Amino acid sequence: MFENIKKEFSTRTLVLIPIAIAINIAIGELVVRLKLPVYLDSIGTVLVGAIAGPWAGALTGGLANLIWGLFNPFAAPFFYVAAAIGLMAGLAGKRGAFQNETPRWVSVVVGAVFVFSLTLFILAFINASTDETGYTSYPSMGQLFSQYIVAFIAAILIGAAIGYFLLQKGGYAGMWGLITGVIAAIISAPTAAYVFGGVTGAGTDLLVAAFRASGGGILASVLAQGSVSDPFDKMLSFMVVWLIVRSLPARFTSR
Amino acid sequence: MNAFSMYAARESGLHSLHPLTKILMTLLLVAAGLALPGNWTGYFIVVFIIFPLAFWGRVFLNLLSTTWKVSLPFAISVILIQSFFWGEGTPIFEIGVLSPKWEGAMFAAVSMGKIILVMSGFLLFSMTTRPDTLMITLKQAGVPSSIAYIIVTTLQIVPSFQRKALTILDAQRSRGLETEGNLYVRARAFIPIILPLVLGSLMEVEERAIAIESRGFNSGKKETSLIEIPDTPLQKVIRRVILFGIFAFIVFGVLWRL
Amino acid sequence: MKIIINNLHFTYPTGLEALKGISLTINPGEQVAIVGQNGAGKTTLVRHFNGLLKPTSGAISIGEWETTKYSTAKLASRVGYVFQNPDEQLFSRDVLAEVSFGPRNLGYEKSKADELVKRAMALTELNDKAETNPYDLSPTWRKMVALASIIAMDTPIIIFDEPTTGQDAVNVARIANVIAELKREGRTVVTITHDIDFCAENFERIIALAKGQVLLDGLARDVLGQGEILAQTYVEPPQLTRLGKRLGLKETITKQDQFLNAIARD
Repeated sequence: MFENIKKEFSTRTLVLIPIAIAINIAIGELVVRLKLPVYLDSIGTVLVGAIAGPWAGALTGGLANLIWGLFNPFAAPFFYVAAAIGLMAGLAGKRGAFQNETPRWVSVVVGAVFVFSLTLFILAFINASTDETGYTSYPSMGQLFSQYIVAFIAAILIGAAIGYFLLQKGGYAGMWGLITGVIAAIISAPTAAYVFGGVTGAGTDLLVAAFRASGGGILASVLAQGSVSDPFDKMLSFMVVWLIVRSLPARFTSR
Repeated sequence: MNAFSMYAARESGLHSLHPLTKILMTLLLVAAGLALPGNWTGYFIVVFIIFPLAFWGRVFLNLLSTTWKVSLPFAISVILIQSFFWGEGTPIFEIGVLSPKWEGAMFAAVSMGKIILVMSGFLLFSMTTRPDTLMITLKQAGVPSSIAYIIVTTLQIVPSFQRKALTILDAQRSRGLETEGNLYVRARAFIPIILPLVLGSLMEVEERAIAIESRGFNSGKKETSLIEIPDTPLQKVIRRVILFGIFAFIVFGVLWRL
Repeated sequence: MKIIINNLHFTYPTGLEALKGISLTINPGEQVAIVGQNGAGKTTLVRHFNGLLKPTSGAISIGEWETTKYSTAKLASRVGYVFQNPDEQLFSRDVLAEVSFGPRNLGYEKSKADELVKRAMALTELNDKAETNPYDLSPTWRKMVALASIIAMDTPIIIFDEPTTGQDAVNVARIANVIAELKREGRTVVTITHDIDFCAENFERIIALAKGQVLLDGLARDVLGQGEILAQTYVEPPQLTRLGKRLGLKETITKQDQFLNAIARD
């Protein structure tokens, strides 16, 4: 394993990492300038994972947040989340997620499964009830299906459309992005909830508010917010990197 | 130096401290604020320790305004969300469905204490430490030169990347690309702007790699530095004490909550 | 399409006053070179032409459009702007797609757009490179791709920012050829340049800027003949002009054939 790690850190990788971190920051600011409702501030990190491997990706993510923390201390405590994103991108890259095209039907399935699961998750959350002893019970799947059948069908259709039109031929990369987003949401929630009272000062705080309104605790609401916005954000980041890798000139890839 | 940094050049005792002493001091204050019991510990440390330190470093107003700017969005968000969506509690007032709760507002105030502590602590460090001395310190403290290279290079190239992104934005607008309008229009502008940025900078990778190898990077030899960072025996002792303190606070913080 | 600039002032947010009252008229089909030292305000001035910058006071209009009333993306249908560094705009997977990007943004019909792209690629000698990734080309060819991608937009006015910087002699000749063809098509060309020899050979009108104001404006040979005034903005007349002067030729020489004629006559 140590041999592999060493192999990832060639001089080229070392040079690539600061460029990737600068890309994270520049694109993160561009997104704000274009008023897009996403972050997309880990594209450089994902790119290093895709090109150089998981360990290089993890190092890029971790350092990116620590350096960013010199200006916005909010970013620093989440360095381990950024590292996990880089690691996942590297694993995806090893399995060819960024190099290959997938048939469009795969993208349709990925999109449909994701939006379906998200709907299930949110409905279960909204319909959870807490009794006097503080024990929270969730409705059964059967109950939810019979109650919200229309919502589920709509979710599958919307998901399929997202897959077909947005993921297009990058379904596999998009899927890795979704999985990465779910992991990022789960591991960042405790820090967000306990250190920062559950807010980020960004637009996604509205989602936290919505989940709090439906009766969720602080940790649960932060987790729920993360599970809605992070997978979508990371899916787009992975898709963009997929596009970048495919646009790389032969001059770069032949090395 | 025109680097991506918050450094405020001043002559002060705080500026002349060894960077390692300062970063450990910051970590100690943050660890204390998060570990010690009491809801208002964070505010206490900010007002009675960080602010006087900022006075000493002659960056008080600078620190105050920057901390205010970065903390304000959090403050607004945390107060609104936690008070209006608290669930059961004592209402501050009730207008229809709107009923903010005292308990939520209190929780928000407590959270803000921690946020302001972390923000102001690290900002104070950034403002009083030259980025290049930080680098040399990291190397001397045993951080691998590759990590040091990454940090120092990032701080140097970020401003040029920010400028380049804006130039590309202008270049593509000049080709008829709409960057204002509805969400669809703005989203469509994204790819034509980021691809030149990313592809153009990837093209530089090889040149930069050759450049640093030709300067003997990765040669395995220990580097010497042109800049001497002043250190004192007293600071060395203080750093050991601080390190012990940080460790103690973490242990205490964990045990106390179990 | 006429460019009318009236008492244009521009101050950057940093407080730097870059333009201090510029008034100019550029007529349709004119070939204008703008020269002057770094910081004279050349780039600041031309960035007003397509609305990348808006006047602090004064006005500039392109045809009947006042630039303050239109976005840069809209003005792009009238003013094409070739940036100095081609790497700040190239993003497509092949040259053909890159050149088609501008015409597509401007909403030309498919057949018209295809025709414009074809002509621009032929003019810049890119036909055999249509399917190459722009980043696999040499920097000089990337410059031609950038040129083609703006020419294909079929704007009545085209701006070049330092077109010859870093180019070899062959490519400078290619760029001169492109500018000559644009002139034949009746399009206005405005070029910022430090390359005074290139300027003398290819442009009929020269505007010299100094410290945000117009220092000289007129026919190339009139402007280039005033070596002492040009020195104020650190511009030296072309080698040929200086040679002609040293030889004691009566007229101000700017072009090779003119030089040969004068030598033969005197």
